[in-house]
Order: sequence, then C-alpha cells, then structure tokens
Amino acid sequence: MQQLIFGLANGSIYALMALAIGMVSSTTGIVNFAHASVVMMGAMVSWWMMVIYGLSYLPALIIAIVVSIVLNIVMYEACVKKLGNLQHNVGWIITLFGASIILDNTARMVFGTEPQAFPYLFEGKMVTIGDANILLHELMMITIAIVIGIVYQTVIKKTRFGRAVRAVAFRPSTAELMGIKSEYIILLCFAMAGAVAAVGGVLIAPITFASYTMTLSIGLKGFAAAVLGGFGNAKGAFIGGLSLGIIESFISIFIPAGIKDSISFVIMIVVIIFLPGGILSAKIFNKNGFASEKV
Amino acid sequence: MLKVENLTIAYGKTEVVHHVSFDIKQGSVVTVVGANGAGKSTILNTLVGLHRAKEGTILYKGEDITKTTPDKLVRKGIRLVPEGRQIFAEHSVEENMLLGAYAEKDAKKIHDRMDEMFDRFPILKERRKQLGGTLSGGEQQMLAIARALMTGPELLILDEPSLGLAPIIVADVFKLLTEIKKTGVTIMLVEQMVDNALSISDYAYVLETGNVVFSGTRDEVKNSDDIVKAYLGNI
Amino acid sequence: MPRFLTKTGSLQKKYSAWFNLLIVVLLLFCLVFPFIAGNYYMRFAIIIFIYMILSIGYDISAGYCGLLTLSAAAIFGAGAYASAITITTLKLPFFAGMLAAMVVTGLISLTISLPAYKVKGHYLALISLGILEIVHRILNDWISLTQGAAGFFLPPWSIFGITLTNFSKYYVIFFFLILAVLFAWGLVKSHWGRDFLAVKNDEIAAAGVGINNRKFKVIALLVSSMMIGVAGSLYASYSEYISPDTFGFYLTILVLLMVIIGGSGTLSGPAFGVVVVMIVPEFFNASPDLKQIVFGALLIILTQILPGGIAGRIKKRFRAIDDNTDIENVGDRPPISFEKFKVNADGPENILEVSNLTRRFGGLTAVGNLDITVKKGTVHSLIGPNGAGKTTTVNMITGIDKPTEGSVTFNGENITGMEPFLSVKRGIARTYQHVRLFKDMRVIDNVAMGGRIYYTYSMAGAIFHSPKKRKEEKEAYLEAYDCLKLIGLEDKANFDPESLSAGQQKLLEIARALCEKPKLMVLDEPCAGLNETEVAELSEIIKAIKNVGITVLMIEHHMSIVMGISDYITVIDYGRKIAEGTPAEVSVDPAVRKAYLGEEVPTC
Repeated sequence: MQQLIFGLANGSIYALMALAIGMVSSTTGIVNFAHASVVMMGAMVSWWMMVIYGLSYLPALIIAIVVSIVLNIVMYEACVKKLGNLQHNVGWIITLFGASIILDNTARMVFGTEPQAFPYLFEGKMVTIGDANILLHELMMITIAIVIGIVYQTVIKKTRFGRAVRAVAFRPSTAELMGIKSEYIILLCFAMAGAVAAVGGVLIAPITFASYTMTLSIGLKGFAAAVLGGFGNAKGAFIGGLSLGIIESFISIFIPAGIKDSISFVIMIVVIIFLPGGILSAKIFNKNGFASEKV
Repeated sequence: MLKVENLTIAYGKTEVVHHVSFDIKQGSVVTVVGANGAGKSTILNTLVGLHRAKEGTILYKGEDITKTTPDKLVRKGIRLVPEGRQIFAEHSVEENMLLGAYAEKDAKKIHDRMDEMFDRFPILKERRKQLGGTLSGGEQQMLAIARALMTGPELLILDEPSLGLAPIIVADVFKLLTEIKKTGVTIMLVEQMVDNALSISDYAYVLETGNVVFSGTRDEVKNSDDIVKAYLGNI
Repeated sequence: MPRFLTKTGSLQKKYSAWFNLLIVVLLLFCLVFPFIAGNYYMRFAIIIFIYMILSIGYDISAGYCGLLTLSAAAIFGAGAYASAITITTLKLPFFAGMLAAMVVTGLISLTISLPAYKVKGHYLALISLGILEIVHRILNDWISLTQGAAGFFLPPWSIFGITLTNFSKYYVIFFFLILAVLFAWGLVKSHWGRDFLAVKNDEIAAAGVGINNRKFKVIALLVSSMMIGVAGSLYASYSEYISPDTFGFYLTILVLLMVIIGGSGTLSGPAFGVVVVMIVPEFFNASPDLKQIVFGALLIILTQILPGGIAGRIKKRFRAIDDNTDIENVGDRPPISFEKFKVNADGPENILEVSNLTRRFGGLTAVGNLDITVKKGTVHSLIGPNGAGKTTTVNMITGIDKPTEGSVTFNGENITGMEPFLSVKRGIARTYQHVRLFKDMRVIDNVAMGGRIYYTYSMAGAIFHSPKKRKEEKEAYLEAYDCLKLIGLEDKANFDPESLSAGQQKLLEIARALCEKPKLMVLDEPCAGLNETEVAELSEIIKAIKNVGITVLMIEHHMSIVMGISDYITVIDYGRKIAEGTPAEVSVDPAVRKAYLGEEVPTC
C-alpha cells in the first residue's frame, strides 16, 4: 500500500511533466528537451522564495509559476520560432538542449550546488490507512495532478481555446484560415507547459530535495513517461506517468536505488523500439486510426 | 472589390507566378482556370496571406492587404475554402463550424449562423456530432463551405471545390455556389472542371504556367481556343 | 573521387598550394611542439588530440549521416572503462583494452541504431539521452566492476611492455589522431561518405538510388561509436585515472559544440571546433558554470545563424568562387551519346505489368483495381486530373508505398511491395514530383550517386584508397560527367544543386536516373516548373532515352508533351482507369474530355 501510494505520487508528477511535454509537442511536433530544466527551475525558485524571502507556500508557488511561464515563452522566442519548418529542421533539438544547459548552470550559480530540503505541504503530516503510513503531501500530489489533468482535458475538449489548440495541432495553416493566430496558440501552449512544469517541480521537491540536479534525476523521467503514454494526449500522459511511477516504486524493492533510476530509461528505450507511438498505440487499443496520404 | 496588380510569387528562388494582374467586382463570380501547376493555388494562398508575394500589390476595398496575416483577413471578410477541403478530421462537425466562427465573439450571432447553416445543409445537422474525418468527400466539401460562411464573409474564395468528388456531387456544389452568390457574396473560384465553373461565373481568367493568357466574360472564354489549348495542348 | 573534378576551379587550384603548405606547417608544428612547450601545454595538446578523435568520430554519424545523438560522452566513457577494466582487472595488454573498448562501444551503438531506422530525429535523441543516463548510472553504481564514483585507477601506460613517458605518450596519441584522420578521410571521400550524406539529405531519394537506409544508419553509428571508443581507451590509458563525472552531460555538450562550431558534415570542422572550444575558454579563465552557460548560448545562436559551422562556411565560399573552367580538361573522352545507355532487348515484351493494383488509405480508395501494361521500349504516359491517384500508383510500382491488393511484375519478376532500394538494382529508376536532390553534394556528386549501385569496392578498400577504389571512382565520375553532358548541365558540375533553376534541377534528377542505367525510367511530372524552352528540351531528351531502348513511364499534365511523345496513354480518374490507347485515341475519348473539361465542351 505504502509503495503503491508512493509510486502513484511520483507517477502523478511524471504524468504532469509528460502532460506539459505533450502540450508543446501536440501543436508544434517538437519535444521540449529543456522541459526538465524548467521543472527544476520551478522548484528552485519557489524554494528560494520560501527560504530566503520567507514567503509562504502559495505566493512562492505563484512566483515560480510566473517565472517558469516567462522562461518557456523566452525559450520559444529564442530557440524555436526562427527555425521555420520544425519537421525538416531538427536544429531545435540542439537549441533546446542549449537552453537546458543555460538553465541548469544558472541554477547552479545562483542557488548553489547543495541539495536543499524543501518543506512538505501540511508540515509533513501523516495519515494511517490500514497498516500504511502515508504522507498527506503524497495524497495532495496525486490530487493536484489529477485535477490539473482533468481541467486541461476539459479545456481542450470543450472550450474555444481548446478547439483552436486542436486545430493548430491538426494543421497550423488550416487553423489560420479560420482566423486563428497559430503562432499565438503555440506560444500559449508553451506558457501553459511552463506553469504545469513549475507545479510539478514544487510538488516533487520535498521528496527529492531541491537542487540543480533535479533536471537529470527527475526531469528526464517526464520524457520516459511521455514516450510511454504517447506524445500529445492527456490520457496517455497519465497512463505513462502513473505506470512508470508504480513500476519504479515496486521494482526498487528488488534492486539497488542507483540502478532503479535507470529502469525508466530502459523502459523508454524498449517502448521506442517496439511501440514508437506509446503503449496506447498498440493494436489492442487502436481500433480506428486515421491514415493519410503521403509523398 | 479586390484588385491585384503585378503579382509575382516565388517559392525560394523559383518564380511560379509572374506579374499577374486581375480584379474582382463586388457581387460577381470570377473563375481562374488552368491546368495543374499553372499557379492557381499559389495565387489563392497569397491572397489570403498564407504565402508572401515577392512583388506586386493586393488591394481589398481600396486597402493594401499584401502583407496582412491570414487571421486579420478573416476578420476583414475574406475566407478561403482550401484545396482538398482540409476538414479538421478529429473535430466533430459542430466543432468544425465553431472553429469556422473563431473570429466571431458574439455567441448569439454564432448560434444564429449555425442554425442558418443547418437549415441550408440538413445533412450536417444530422451529423453534427460525428467526427469530420468520417464524412464522405461531398459532405466534407459542404462542411468546408459552411465553415467558411460562419463569419459571413464578403469574399469567398474556393480552391478546386470539385476535387475528388463524384460528378453528381460536383453539380450540387455548384448549385450551392449559385445560391450563395444570390446572397450577395462575391465568389472567386479556381477550378479544373472548366465547364461547370464557367456556367456559374461572370468573368474568367485563363492561367498558364504562371501567366494570365486570356481573360474575358464567360462566353468569350468558352468560345476561345486558348482554354482547350491550356488543357489538352495543341493536338 | 578523381582529382580533376575536386580541384577543378582555377582559383581553387591557386589556393590548393597554400592549403597543402598549411597542412605541412601544422604537421611540423605538432611534431616539434613537445620540444618547445612546457608540460602543461603538452598535456593540454594531448587532451585536444583525444577530443579531436572523439569529435571526428562523432561527426561521422551526427554530421554526415544526420543521426543526432546525445550519447557521445556515454560512449566515450564506456570505451574508457571497457579498456581500463580489461587492462587493470583482466591484466591484458593495452591493445586488448582498445579492442574491448571497440567491442563495447559497438554493442552500445547497436542499441541506439536498431530502432533508428524507424523513428524520427527526436526519438533518436531521447534514446541516446536514455543511454547517457544508463551508462552514467552503471559507472556510478556497479561498484564491483567500475569502483563507482571514487574513480578507477590504471597502471602506468605501457605498450608492448614498454612504459611510456609523457613525451612518448604525446607522439603515440598524435599517431592515433593521424590514423583517425586518415581513416575518416578515406571513408568520407568514398561512396560510403556520400551514401551517409544522402541518407541525411533525403531518405526517399537515397533509397531511390539503391541505398538501404537502415543498413547505412547502423554502419554509420557503429563506425562512429568505435572511433569514439578508441578515443576513450586512449584517454583512460593516458590519464591513468577515470571517474564517472568526466563522462556526463558536460562532455556531451562539449562534443556537440565542437562539431557545431567547426561545421558538421565536414572533415576539418570538428577538429577546428575542438581547438576553438578548448582554447578560447583558457583566455577567460571563467568559472565552469559561466563557461557552460556561454556554451549553451553558443549552441542556440550558432544553430540558427551559422548552420554549416565555420568549416562549412569556408567550403561554401570556395565552391562559390570556383568557376569550373578546368572541367573541360577531362582528357580524351570520346564524344558521348545516349547509345551508351542502350538496353539490350531480351526479357519479356511487357516490361511492366500492373494488375488489380489497389491502395486504400483508411476508408478512402486512392487507387482501385488498376491494370496497366507497359510495353518495352515505349513512352507510356499516365494522366488524369489532380488527386486521381497517379503518384500513388507510381509510388507502389517503385516500392515507396505498399499496395493493399494487386501485384506488380517487372521484367517477368514479381516485385510487389519490394523495398525501393532493391527495385533500383533490378533496373527501375525514377524522378520525383517535388525534386529530391542531395543538397549537401555538388551537382556531379548527385549524378554519380545514380551510379552507386555499380560500386564493388569494400570499406577497407575505401579507407586504404585501393587501386580498385580509385579506378571505380574515376570511372563513375566520368560517367556522371557524361550524363551531365547529355542533359547539357556539364558546366554546372561543381555547383550546389540549390543554385540551379527549377527546370535544371528536374533535368538533374533525370541525369541521376540515367546514371543508374535503368531498363525502366519513371518520371513523375518532369515538366512541372519548366518553361517552354525547357519543356521542348526535355521532350528531346525523353525521345533520346526511348530511342536507346529504355522504357519510360511518365506522369504528366503538360498535354503537348504527353500527346507529342507518348506511344501509349492511360487515363485514370478517382483511382480507376477510364481510358487507354494511343494519343489520338485518348484525345477524342469522351470519358477523357469529361474528366478534364466537364461535359459539354465543343469539339474543335
């Protein structure tokens, strides 16, 4: 039980990261390789606000969200916008990687190299369910992630903005014929992804400690979760993230902690090799796909 | 209403349209005909702002719109029904129409227009919850036109509305276009199906490898040799 | 590649003496360097040499073959540890360690390249990022093997029982650098190097000249990883101490930056980049964080403003100066005519038989139950309105697309669904509706790619410049030159294909197809984008091609050329055949007039 909740809690953060990666990739077709660094920045900024400026949880979180949104917008403007056709010009892999390096090292310079203890929500209060002691914080992680997922899904499915996002995802030029400013929609998606990144970073920081190395230890798992669930849909992101979290938490019973962290990458590689569209693309899940003409 | 002067369009270094000029009068139907590769679609895409002109000016109601972006042109009343319809395959019919009305903020107006469209296209009302990608070619074409009419455009531009449709359906489409014309919408049409297109138009331009080789009223074009030549070559 | 074509331009010739002088000076400088420099600078030079081997190796896969991976540091580390463990734990000699490094890195490259053929660029980046992390974890946490984060100590470096001094280490590593450069040089200046570039530029066109994309991606990554492995083993033996931290993210950035600054897809670029990346920060003496931030910024900026890197820019400049005057001094070439490409007349009368061909996309039938018979030695045109399914048909014939139903028989052999690179070898060449040229190669290289199926020399032959390689390369380029001459583009041989007009590019594709010496040439809208003079020219070329017995299957909208040169025409509409016959028959066919013109057009 304890393992399960722990796995679900971590998994829900992986899911949030996968969700944000999906937001960007659905409209642009690119994978934001700097996303992991934005997650880390979200955590570090809120830690800084709480510990150095003594702000309480919520204002710190809001500032972190704002900073992450700004970071993502700048990233789009500087690294992606000018490259033209992103399917033909894969320069974005390099530029976003460059952005990630800048963020990581800025964090290292500004916030130092020491991992910092990050406060839990509810002061680390525990609840007992059956024979398991569970942090309230972990339950909050799951709840918040699911709420974000549902809100996102509703916005995408039901609102004018959501329709526009899906229209741009289908084909930006056609969307423009409807009067949608595709570039603006893409920018908003980057901004949303930034906000979600900050929330994810803040929620997981108490468990992993806040430090610039979060990029590598946690952030990269977002990619694994996104690959696992398939890029660009909320359901997939959650399935990918949660299953990754649970697998990790149970597998750590059998193998040492260091190796545990590479499990998600092994899973990611296996999925890419055998099911490049994610586990939802497997035949049993895929009844009526649209095929289109090429060349 | 629309006046195009000396328009030159290039993809990279390759010029595909050379110094083309034409104009469209308010309330008329103008057809541009020509074989594949003559540059018809390129001209249309440039008119609606998807592609930048290399040279020349486009005037709409006296205003220079050569550099205006597509989303602004939609708000000015110019709508393109693109080649191959480009229905949003994973949006429902209703959502496709709502997207068509994206530039309109007034919910009541959208609602009224939607009802109006459903009256005109009962088949779309029947299928309003279906995904766009599951419609037949003819239904998709209807939807594409309905979608463009959602903002009540003044100039409706259609890129090969007959493409890939069975002849009976093509006849329906053209009947529909005559009806739309009666409501006072100016129509610009690009077509391969010359005969159908000419039957509803007032004026036509014949385009060959990026040049206007002939222009005239419907009857003038119909009786000219140039058009047969543009299609079937010199036999 | 024959000399007269690489160094044709008079200006380039003028400079080539300077280039050679520069190389000699550099070489001498490197040889005497230990005598004039202190210990610190010598160690610095050694590290630069090792990084040069590393980035030259990395560039073979990333720069030439376009396989953008982020795992260079991991492979370098794996090589270093593999050789360190072999030397220390297994107590084997240095060269056994190097061999172990190559085996291990080769195996790692296979895990990356196995999926590489079916996944897009960013998946490759993700996989390699995963590999980077996994290797890093193994180095840190498999303590019994790697001694973990504390690092791994090696005995002093000895070769054949002789322990090396700092001095001799310098020369040994310099020797390996020269070997690596010669190896890469031989590989790159052979059809292998050009094949890698072709795969990077356009996989469909690459398959269209007979390249098995999958195979070449695997080979590129394998060769590149092994070279990085060699660099790793040198590093381990030289420094006598390795720790996992050396082989992390930072090194990957460094390698990426070296290649990007210098210019990916060039031989001198990576080496150049290493010098810039290693030496420039020495002047600043900045904190490591700041240095990395600058590196990150450089990655962002350079990718956008200097995509070819410094070496790429220089190369382009010299190609632009090049005026091709000397290309006339080809020697005593006999006057060329199309006779050279004559196809002998055996084989069945119906060279291509398509029966019941069907292709459905989801619910849409793009091509339905299509039967076409193409007779040998004819020009057969496929016409029909936009969206009728012509290109889909041709794609199924050439193997780019697989039919849902039906069969394609070529020259008596069933080739239904055969991979394009195999059908090329059976004698089917094609051009594309939207021109697909290899943009990183000169015009002459593009044409010579057409003849690549006739190369027989091995990779070893390529590296050691075997006589067979030299002979075949020369022959291939002379032939390519002949093809260019036939279509009248010989004076553009050294140009970039992008500098040609749309019409010339189309003609160039035909020259490339001709160089494959095909039995059947498939032309997809050869006239699109051509002006009237070019169309007339093209129609003469097609006639000449037909006259030497090559069958032509052509999709075309330009009716005067279709009616003028076709022997037979098949008209399709909505994916079905609506008429067939000679031009005269088809042009009066009511079904055709209806499909094209609508119903009631007056006959003229």
